[in-house]
Formats: sequence, C-alpha cells, structure tokens
Amino acid sequence: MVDIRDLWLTYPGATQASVQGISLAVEKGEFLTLLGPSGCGKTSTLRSIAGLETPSAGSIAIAAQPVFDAGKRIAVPVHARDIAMVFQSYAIWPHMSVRQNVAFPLDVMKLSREETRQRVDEALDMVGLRDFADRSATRLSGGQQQRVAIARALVRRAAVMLLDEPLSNLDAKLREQMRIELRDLLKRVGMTAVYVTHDQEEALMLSDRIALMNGGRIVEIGTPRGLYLSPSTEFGASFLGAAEVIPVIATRGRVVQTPLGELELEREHQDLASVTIRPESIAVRSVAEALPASPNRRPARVLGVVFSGRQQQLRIELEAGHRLTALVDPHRAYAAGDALQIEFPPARLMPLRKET
Amino acid sequence: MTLLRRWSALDAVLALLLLYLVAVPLVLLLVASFKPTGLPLDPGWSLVQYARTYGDPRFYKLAWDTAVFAVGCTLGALCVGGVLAWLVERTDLPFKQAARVMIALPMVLPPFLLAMGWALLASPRNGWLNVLLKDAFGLAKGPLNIYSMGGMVFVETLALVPSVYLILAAAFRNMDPALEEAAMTSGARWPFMLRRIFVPMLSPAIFAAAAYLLIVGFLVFDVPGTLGLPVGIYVVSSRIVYLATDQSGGTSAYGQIAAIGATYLVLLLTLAWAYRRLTAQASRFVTVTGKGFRPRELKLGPLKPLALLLVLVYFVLAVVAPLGMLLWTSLVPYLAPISMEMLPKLGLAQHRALLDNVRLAGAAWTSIWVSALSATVVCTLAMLVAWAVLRGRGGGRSLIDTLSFMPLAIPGTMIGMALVYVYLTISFVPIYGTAWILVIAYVTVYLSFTSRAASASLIQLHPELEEAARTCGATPAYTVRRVVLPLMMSALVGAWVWVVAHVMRELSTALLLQGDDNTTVAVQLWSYWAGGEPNKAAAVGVWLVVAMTLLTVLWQWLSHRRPGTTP
Amino acid sequence: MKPLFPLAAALALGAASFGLQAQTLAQLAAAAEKKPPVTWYESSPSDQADKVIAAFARKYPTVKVRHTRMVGGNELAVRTVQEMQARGYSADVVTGGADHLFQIAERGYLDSPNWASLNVPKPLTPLPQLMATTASVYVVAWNSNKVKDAEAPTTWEQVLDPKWTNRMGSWVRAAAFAQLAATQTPATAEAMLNRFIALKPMLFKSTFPLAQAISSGEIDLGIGFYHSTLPPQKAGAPIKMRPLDIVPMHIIYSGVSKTARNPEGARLLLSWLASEEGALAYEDATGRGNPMVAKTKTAEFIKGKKLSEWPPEKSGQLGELNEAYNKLLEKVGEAR
Repeated sequence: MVDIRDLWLTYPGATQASVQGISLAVEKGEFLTLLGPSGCGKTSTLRSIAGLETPSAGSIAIAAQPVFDAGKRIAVPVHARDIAMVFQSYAIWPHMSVRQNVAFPLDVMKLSREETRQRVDEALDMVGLRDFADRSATRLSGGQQQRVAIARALVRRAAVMLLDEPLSNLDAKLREQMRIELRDLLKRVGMTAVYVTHDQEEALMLSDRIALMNGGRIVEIGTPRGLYLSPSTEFGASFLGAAEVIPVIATRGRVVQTPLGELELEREHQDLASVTIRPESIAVRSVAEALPASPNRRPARVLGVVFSGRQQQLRIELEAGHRLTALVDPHRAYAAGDALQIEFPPARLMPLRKET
Repeated sequence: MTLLRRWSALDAVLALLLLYLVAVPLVLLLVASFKPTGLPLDPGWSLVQYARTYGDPRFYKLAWDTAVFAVGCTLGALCVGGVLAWLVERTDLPFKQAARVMIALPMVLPPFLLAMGWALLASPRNGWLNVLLKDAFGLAKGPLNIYSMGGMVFVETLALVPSVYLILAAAFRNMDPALEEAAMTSGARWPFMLRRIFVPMLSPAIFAAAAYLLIVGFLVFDVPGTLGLPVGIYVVSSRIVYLATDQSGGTSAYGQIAAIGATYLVLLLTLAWAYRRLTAQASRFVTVTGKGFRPRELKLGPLKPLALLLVLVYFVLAVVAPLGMLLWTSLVPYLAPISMEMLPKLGLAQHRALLDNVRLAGAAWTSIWVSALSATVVCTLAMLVAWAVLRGRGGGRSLIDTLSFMPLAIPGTMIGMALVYVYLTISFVPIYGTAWILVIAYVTVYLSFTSRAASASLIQLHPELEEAARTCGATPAYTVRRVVLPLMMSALVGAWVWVVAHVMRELSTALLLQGDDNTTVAVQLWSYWAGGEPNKAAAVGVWLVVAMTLLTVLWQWLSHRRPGTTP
Repeated sequence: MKPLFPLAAALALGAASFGLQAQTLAQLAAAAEKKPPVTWYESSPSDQADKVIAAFARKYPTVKVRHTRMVGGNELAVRTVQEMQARGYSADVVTGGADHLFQIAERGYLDSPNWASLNVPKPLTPLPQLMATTASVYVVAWNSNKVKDAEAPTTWEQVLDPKWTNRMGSWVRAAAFAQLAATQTPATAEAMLNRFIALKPMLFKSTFPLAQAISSGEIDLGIGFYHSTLPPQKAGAPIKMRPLDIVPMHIIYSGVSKTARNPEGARLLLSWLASEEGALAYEDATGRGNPMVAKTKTAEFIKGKKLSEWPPEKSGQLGELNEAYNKLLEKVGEAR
C-alpha cells in the first residue's frame, strides 16, 4: 500500500540528514509502527508520506500511485494524496462543532448532505461520540478530542492512515484503553496504518510489524514477537523492552566466554559480540532449592527490591561484582541481602553478532 | 514541483503589488531628497537637503525631544493598554462588553480634537480643571499645564491606548492556560510568571505594538502641534509640517522632508529586522493549538471595584472629559471657558445648522465609503501578507514582510505627494483629485498596522490546524477559507474597525490629496476649526464621535454573538 | 524632455492670448461660456468660496467657476509646479501669497494679460503677471474684559512693553516682523522681534485659533490678522482690534495660467475681483478685503496708516528674513 524507496530528507540549514536512505513497504491492511527515540527521523518519514515535508531524494508511492519521485520530479501536493492523518495535538478546529470537524473531509469532496450526514454518524458511532455530535469542539476532554480526530480521519476512507504519536498527550489509563480501541477499530475497518511512537510498549501492543529507527535509518524491522524475542542488534535489544547485555569475549561453538564466566547457548554460533537476556527470563531460585547442575547457574545476592504490583524488580549482585536486574512475579517477598541462585536458560540467551 | 510553484505565485503577486504601493513613494522620497529644489522631476542632483537638515544643530535637539516624546508615550500606552487588555481578557472583570467598547472608543476621536478638548480642560489660565482646582483649594495658580512635554505625552498616550489594546487583547485571549498552569505547578508565583512566562510568550505581540507605537510617536503631529507648539516645544513632525506649510520659499521644503524621511527609513528597517529575527522562531509562540481550552481567568475578588474604576477613569480621561468640552464648545457662540456667564448663551444653533449643510453631507458620504473600502482592501491584503510570510516557503517572504511594514516610515505628506505625481503622470487612470486616490493612499498607509495585527493573530495558530485540513484533502485556498480565516476573523474585524476609525479621522494626507470633490469629514472639520469656526467644528466633531461610537458598539455586539471562536 | 512640452504649449497659447487683449468683458463672457469651468486654486474655506462664486454667478450667470482649496502657500506652489510638470496644465487662476505667486511666475507659468482692458487699475499690478486680490492685514487684538481699551497698544513700541510678558499671543510665523523690515530696516525689525520674544508669547499655528484664545481669555492680547479676528467678534466675544502705527500686511495676488483651459473666464474672474462689486463680495464672504479698492472695509480700516510690505520682486529677500525670524521665534521655548 505504501512503498518507500531510498528516501532522504535534509532540512534546510541542517548539517545532517534527518532521514538517511529509508526503504519500506507497508502491506494493505497492515499496522506498521515506526519506533525510535526522539530525533530518529520517524516523524519526518511520516510527514514525508503525507507530503507535509518534501524529501531530498528517493520515491514514495501510495496505493501504487507515485506521490513523490525526486528523479522524475513528481511531488503530489498534500491535498491530492489518498491519506488521512491524526496529529499529536489532535488539531481539532476550535471554531467548529464535533460534527463539522468530522464532516470537513467530506465537505471538501463535495458529497451530498445526506451522504455526509450518514458517514459522519457512522464515524462518530465507531468512536463512541455520537451523542457529542453538536457540541463545540472546545468543550471536549483530551480523550474525546482524540476520538474526534480519529473519526475525522476514518470518515475519508483513505488508502492509508498516518498517525503521529496520537496518544502521547493522554494520561496513562486512558492511553492504555485507547490503544486497544484504536487497534480494534482499525482492524475492523481494514485500514492500513503507519503509526509513529517512541513508546515501545505501545508499539509492541499495536503493530503487525515494527520498523525500529535510529539516526535516520531503519535498524531492524520485524514482527513484535520476532523483534522482542530475537533481536539482531544491540540497539534493538535494549530499545524494545529492557535487556541485560553480557559482552562476549570469545565464542566456541555453543559456549561463550563472558565476564560472568562460561555460558551455554542453545545453538552453535560464531563471532558473537554479546548475548542479552530479558530481565523476566532470568530464572530466580532460592538457595535452599536442590537443582540439577547447570552451566548457566550462578549464586547471587539481592541488593534491592522494587514492587510494582504486576511484578517485582530485583537488583541482584553476582559473585564477581556484576549487577543485573531480574523481573519476578509478585508473590514471594524478597529482602536486601537474601542469597539466591540465578540461572540464564540457554533458550533465553539472545545472541548478537558484531555489528558491521 | 506543483506545490512550490503555487506558493510562489502568491508571493509574486503580493510582491509586485507591494512594490507598486510602497516602492513608488519610497523612490520618489529618496529622489526628492537628493534634488536641490526638492521636487523629484526637477533637474540636477545635490546633497544640499541633507546638509540643511542634518547640518543644523537644532535638528539634534529636535530629535532628542522627539525621542523623549515617542518613548514616553510608547511606554505609557504599553503600560495602560497592557493593563487594560489583561483586565478585560484574563480576569473575571464584570461588564466586559462595556469595558471593551469604552477602551476602544477613543479611536474615533480625531487626535487634534482630543488635544483641543484637553487644552480647554487644562490650559494654565482658563482650563476648566484648573479653575475648579483653584477655587476648591484656594490656589494662586492652576496646578495643571497641558502645554508641556508631560501634557503631550499624557494626551498622546490616551490616543494610542486603543491600538495597543487591540493587539495585546488578541494575544492575551489566545494564550493556552496549560502553559501558565505548568509554571504555577512548578512553584512559580505571579511576578515570576509575569517575567518568565507571560512577557516572553507575548513578546511578538508586545514588540509589534512597541515598534508601531515608536514610529507613530516619531511621526504624529496633531498632539505635539496643538500642545507643544504654542510654548515652543518642537518635535520632528512639527518640523515636517512647518516645512510643508509654513516655511517660505515653498518647494525646497519638500526636499528636507524627504531627507528627514530617509532617517525614518533607516530606523524603521532596523526595527523591522529586529522584529523578524524575534518572530523567526514562530513556533515558540504558538498558543492556539486547537487542543481546546478556556483562557484561565484570574479572580479579582475584592479588587473588582478598583479594576472597574481603572477602566472608568481611562474612559473619562480619554473620551468623556474632552468630549464634554467639545459639546460645550459646540453650544456656545464663540470659544469661551465654562462659566456661569456663558450659560445663557448656550444654544443649538450649530447643531441645527449641520442638518442643512450640503457640503458636510457630501463629505460624510465620501468618508463612509472611502473608509469602508480602504479597510476591506487593506485587511484582505494584510491577511494575505501575513499568510505568505508566516506560512509560505517561497523566497519572497522577507521582501514582502519588509515592504508591508515600510509605509509606516514614510510621512503621510510624502505618500500623498508621491501619489499626486504618479497619478498625474499616468493620467489615463483618472483618479487624480478623486476619492479613489485617497483609497490608495490609505491602503498604503494602514498596511503596516493591519499586517502586524494579522501576523500577530496568525502566529498564534498552530500550523497543525492547517496541516490537518490539508491532510483532509483541502487545497490551500480551501484551508484558508474554512480554517485560517475564521480563526483570524476576530483580529481581522478588529483591524477593519481600526482602519475605518483612523480613516474617518485622518487629516494630513486627505488635505494634501484634496481635489474637487473628495473632501472628507475630517478635512471639513479641520477647515472649520482652522478657519475660525471652532464651534461649528466642535459640533461636527461631536456627531462624528457619536457615529463612530455606534459603529464600535455594533462591532462589539456582533463579535460577541458569533459562535464557536473566542470573541 | 518633460518641461519642453508644456513650455512649447505655453508659448503657443501665450501668443494666442495677445489676440484677446482687445476684447470687451462681454465678449470674454461669451467666449468663456463655451469652455470648461474656470478652475481656481485659492485658500479660503469652501463655503466661503461658494459665496464668492455665487456672487460672481449673479453677474456672469453663464460662466462656471470651480474652486479648490489650497491650504498654505507652499501647497499651492508645489501643486502648481507638479501639475505643470506632469501634465502641462494646472489651475486657470491661482491666488496666493506674493512669494509663492512670484515663484510660479518665475517658472514662466503665468500669463501677462492686458490689465487695462480688464479695468484693473495700474496700482493693483506691480508685476505684469500678478494682480492684487486681497490682503492679510496685521492688527493688535485684545480681550476687552482683561484689557481696557485705553490700555490697549496703539503703537509698536507699546506692544513691546514688558508689562505684556506672559500675556501675549502670536502667530508661529514671525512674518509681521519680516514685513516690518521693508520700511524699518532689517536691523530694527530684528531688534523689535527680540523684544517681542522676551514677552514669551504663546504661539499659534494660525491666527484663527489665536483670535479664539484671546476671546476665551487664555491670553490677553496678540498680534493677529483683521480677517481672523472678525469671526469671534461677530459671534459676540469680548474681543476688539485696531491697526497699529505701522501696518505690516501680506497682499494676496492672483495670476492667470499660460495654459489655462478657460483663459477668457479666468480674466473675467480677475476683472470682477478687482472691481468694487467683486472686491466687496469677496470681503463679505471671507472677511478679507482688497486694501487697494477704496470702498472695502479693509481699506477703510487702514486708511491713513503707514503700510509696510516688501514688493513681490523682493520675495527672495523676504524669504530669507522669514526663515531667520522664524528661527528666532522658535527660541520662545527656551525663553520660557
């Protein structure tokens, strides 16, 4: 649905390009997220798709229609692209009612009154704001405004919806709730979506695929599960969720030499730079438990505990003074100074090759 | 690139139009300043005008006095206008509608009538206030002397407050309370917030107001002429008017006017450059994001009566008192102070005479349509200029911005003279001596203020409001029509009313461009006053104020009724 | 290039005008009727000018006149020059101060009609292009409540008495003293001016507000004009005036443009203004009379007094004196 080839964007007066050679293909009906830290170029890429920024090189096609091609000197203006966009600031027009806001794209298309009314009602139903239709836009809460923005984007029935951190300004509870709603809604309608966020949890929850970006480039791209469980870069591992990175000194088949001693992996590898493990995958056992021997087990001591309802964070110190964080379920209470055994299950150790 | 080309077309059209409106008088000004006779079409070049102007040591005393005056009334108007704007827009002041009308009203009073009214109130010997105070406190001499620098600054401040109020009120109205709330929750108190949040956020509006006021202070004549000249206090503008009318030897005076004008240009270009630097980071000042809010109102509590008193005092000083004196003057057969002896002589003769005055009726009609047309054209132009400069990406932006600000620096007499030349030469466009030449002159003269007002309003609109419209399929033109214009409407309407009020009272340019049948009410009024019929002039002045008051009240009422946007 | 065309046109029409000399007034009227209205630049307020033109129309009902008010002599001069340069013609008749009309004449814009055939006596035309039309006559005016008639000055010496300090008013221009210099020598006039400045007079943009200020009592007395003191007097204000021992004045001249579009009508108008009928009508309407026409109130007012004024050809000198004296008068601010 959206086909980006070798996109470059340098803002006038900037020394470095904001987008450095991005290529991406978004399938029809797919929910793809551009995820990365501030300044990684994700918003610039999104705005380039919309036409709000003009790239310096490359090409973009939406629904097989070229909308930008630096070589062929094509630049379709924003209003002629088959897109809909939801902004971080909602961008609801304060001088119009909810209904007028949502009807705006249809007014542009010059649809009949009847059809406009019908489609606006439909969109408002989808976001649950039908009762607010005639209210002035300034009299809505943040969450309600966001829904109006979504309804306005839906009503156009565009080929692709672009969302620029739409939930960032909502409070946590509302955000969680709206995430699910948003994804369900878009899937129901079968909308192709390109979503921008810096919140990795949000990206994991909502996306069919995630494009992880840093410094203007795509570092990794894959499904949430794939990226989370088997990242291929250190950046990917540590940005998407937490990760304990253990540097590898030498690799010999299935065994790696690390500052924590020797660790056994699931398979044979060559030339690894590091292995990482998610804090929740570190197995924590009490010293009292009798366990069969394992090369990946180590004695440890609890340094500190942070209880956060769903889980507990244990700050642990190993023999040689190395410190890690492990996540365990909330049921057993720990205290600083407790002696433990921790184990790195081989299947959970994610190998990372040297980045070239 | 289709998108870029379309922007540039607007840029190009605007640039050409502005060059024509602004560059022509400018070029004539500069050329005249280098002519030995001061007339652009005469032969020869010379620096004699500059030598005469800047070689005269008196000029520097003049410049200093002018600077004192201009800075004085700028600060005064900013303080008073700022406080009043804040009271009306950001506190829970009661009777806001009435307050808005009262503050905007002084716009309708021609400045020289305001000055005359105050001269009648506070002249050292006969001023009514002085007489009252002398009697009340048994003083030997009246304590007030309006014929002084202080008096000039006071009256000019009164006259300038409405303009400042318009700019600042619009800015206050559109401030997102989230920004203040963020400061308050970090432990900031009001004085700190004022210094670190309000003033910086509002700095484009404040700077625009200050720049405008400074230039006006340097150029204005009516008040210093009426209150300073009688006691020998001169400012540069009185020098310009002296050169234009009183200096014998006639034509060469215009060269000196041009030479003085050249300095203003330099001053103005500097101000314009500074203004653009400040607002280059326009995004820092975005305050209307469409996130929806109600501006936070400070509760005045026990201070309410005091606040109302402040507004009332301003209104009395700026309108009621001088208008009262004018009313008195219109009822007496000759100029005389208020006294018991004069009471039996009061009569409505002057007012009745107005009804039969055919010339006045013609002048009134001319004033009405010239002001309405000029206001409409200039506000449209201002909006387009603001949009091209703030939202455009073409290379012509800084040129358009500078050109739109420049007319402020050119004395009205110069613009008038330039227009006379242009339209005498291209006589196939038969507007010389007609009211149409007035329209062109006023569009040029008032472009500066209206484009600043439009910019100040547009700067506060988050660009995402327009981007959202474009992503909904709206062309730039449609976006302007349905999103930008409605949101800017209150500022534009305010500017429209301001222009109408100013055109109705404008004198020097209308006098210069006088032809056979383009006399305006202001010119007629002034010719009665200067021609020895002050009582007739006062009567006309009273009715002028009444008419403009009705207009202002109507404007306030209408803008309050419009749904949706903040009024 | 530009000035050549109007000059050529001017010469051509100038040649034609000699042929007009011999025509009688009636013939002039008949010719004027067929041409566009006579355009007249003059400084009176429009409604006063309307009265003058109405009176003219009673005598010559078929000749139309269009008056445009020119405020301040400089505007008259500049406008005339601009129009001549840009389009080759300006107003048919221009009326203004000696210095401005002289400048216009010097540029070759004015015609030299046969005044005799227009019944204009020789004394009214010191130069062939200029005809005396009216005058601004200096007077001393006082508030009759504040100053007794016996106390009010009759001579310039009495005007300069220090007892008038802070009670005196004046026009912002020191033109009276410049005109005094014509008969009293510049040195004497300047000395008088300095003594006048020592009185710390209050300055007024024009003599009309000056007269109003005297009426209201803001100042006790002042040096103003005859015609600007009349209005408050007529309205019943306590203001009186008299001429001083030496009467400075500004005679206002009129001229006919060489490229006038209705040269016959222009001449007719001037002829009428110089006649008793016309001069009285003009005085009636504007308050300013022609001092050289015996029957006007102005002429009677200054009868027997010594007059002081520079002739038009000495306008350059007058201009320099004006400049110098205005500069001195500005120093009133410091005196205070």
